[in-house]
Amino acid sequence: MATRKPLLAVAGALASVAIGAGAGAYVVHNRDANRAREVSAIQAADAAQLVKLRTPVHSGARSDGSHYGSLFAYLLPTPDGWSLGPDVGLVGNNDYVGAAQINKELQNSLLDVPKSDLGSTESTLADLHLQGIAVRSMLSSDDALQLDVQLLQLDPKLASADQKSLSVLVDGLGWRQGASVPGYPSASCVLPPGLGSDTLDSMVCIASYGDVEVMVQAEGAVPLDQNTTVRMVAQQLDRLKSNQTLTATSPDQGDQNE
Amino acid sequence: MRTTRLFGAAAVIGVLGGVGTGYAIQAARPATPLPPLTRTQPRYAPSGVYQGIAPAMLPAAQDDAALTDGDLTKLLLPVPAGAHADPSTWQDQSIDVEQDSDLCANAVSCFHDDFSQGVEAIADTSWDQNGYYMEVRIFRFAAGSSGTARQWAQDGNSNTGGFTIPSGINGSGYEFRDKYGDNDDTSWAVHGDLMVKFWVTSPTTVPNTSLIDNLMTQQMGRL
Repeated sequence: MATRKPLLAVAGALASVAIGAGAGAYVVHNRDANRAREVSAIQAADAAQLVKLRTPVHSGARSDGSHYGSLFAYLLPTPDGWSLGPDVGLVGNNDYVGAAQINKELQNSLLDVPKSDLGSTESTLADLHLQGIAVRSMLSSDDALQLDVQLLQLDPKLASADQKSLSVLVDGLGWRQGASVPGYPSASCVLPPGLGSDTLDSMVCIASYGDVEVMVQAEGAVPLDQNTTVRMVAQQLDRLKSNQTLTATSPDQGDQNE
Repeated sequence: MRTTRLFGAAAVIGVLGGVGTGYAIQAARPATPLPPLTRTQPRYAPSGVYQGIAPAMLPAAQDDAALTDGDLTKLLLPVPAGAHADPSTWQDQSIDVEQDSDLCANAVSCFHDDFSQGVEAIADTSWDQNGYYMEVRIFRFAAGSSGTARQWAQDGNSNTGGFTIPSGINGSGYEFRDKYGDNDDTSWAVHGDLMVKFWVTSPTTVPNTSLIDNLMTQQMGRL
């Protein structure tokens, strides 16, 4: 009987330590669980935002060549080492303008041509039936070549008439013939007169795929780097042709779906 | 004696366990949100707070932080009464960097400068008036490059033939004979992210600087 007292005391002490430790462990565990829940909620929100920004803007070409989805996503990405250039006419840069915002002034400003060709160019541009315009102006790393890419989404029913009037315009300007676009014999590149002999030169290329008209304007010091220009025109046309879903290269523009 | 100790130990264990459990339950509960404020918070009139602290607003002509968006051609002066537009020159038109650089003394370096200094958009207009050719060209600089625009507007000061431009306009101007042998007054003025260049040209007369002063005053007044 004499050994029961110390046994009881030890048991009591152990029990109190065990209960205290249990309670402490429970509190700590609960705090950890709460914090983990909060952290994972924040991470989930971040991840959802990232997914939203990185979600491919589903664009594609139908079998008849018409395109759906974000016109912006079709724009040729800025190549490595290149940067964004100045504005394209009144449209801005690295941007998409939908049908509701398009007006004659905006259409008129798309091509920079010598004053003598402005009248015919503006009247042709003003008559286009545009559903959307996406533009990206790019500047080579040495500032020697500036290239702006314009994608014009045409009304599918009037696309062939619009494309014809643009090629009539460009062929009829009587400018110097530019390099041909590899793989795209119907694409046409011309260089305005009065330039090219001395210091600066420019070139306009037009081509189309389905309901999208591609207009590319290149400017730079003489001799103008026509090879790089037509190679990029071909890359732009390839991008329109491919039937993959595309991701807009600038995430904050990804929601500019039509 | 033993019973007392046993009771004592039991009480200590009970208290410890009770405190621990109670604390644990309380800690595990989600925090009770504070009740909403029942009283409407006072609204302070902004003028009452800021009056006497905020500096007076700058007149637009001196506001170098002004940023411009949209169509630059809408900011250009219209062809004045009595003047006529020359069909061979730009009128109320947005132009590109190559077109801006084309008539530069060194076109390639002008072309590079426009890019490296952050020119984003250019608009141009011109007319003939009383035997003088007048041209106005607005450059918009990229965000963060208005300092460059202000530097650029001082270009006239580094040339001989400099003249004083109207007071209140930040810029410079000088007189010269161009590569076609014409007499030119040219000047620069800056407003926020816009830099405006002016020309008054005559093949026969050296233009009186009051002509370009007037042009600058009217154009900068529009910005």
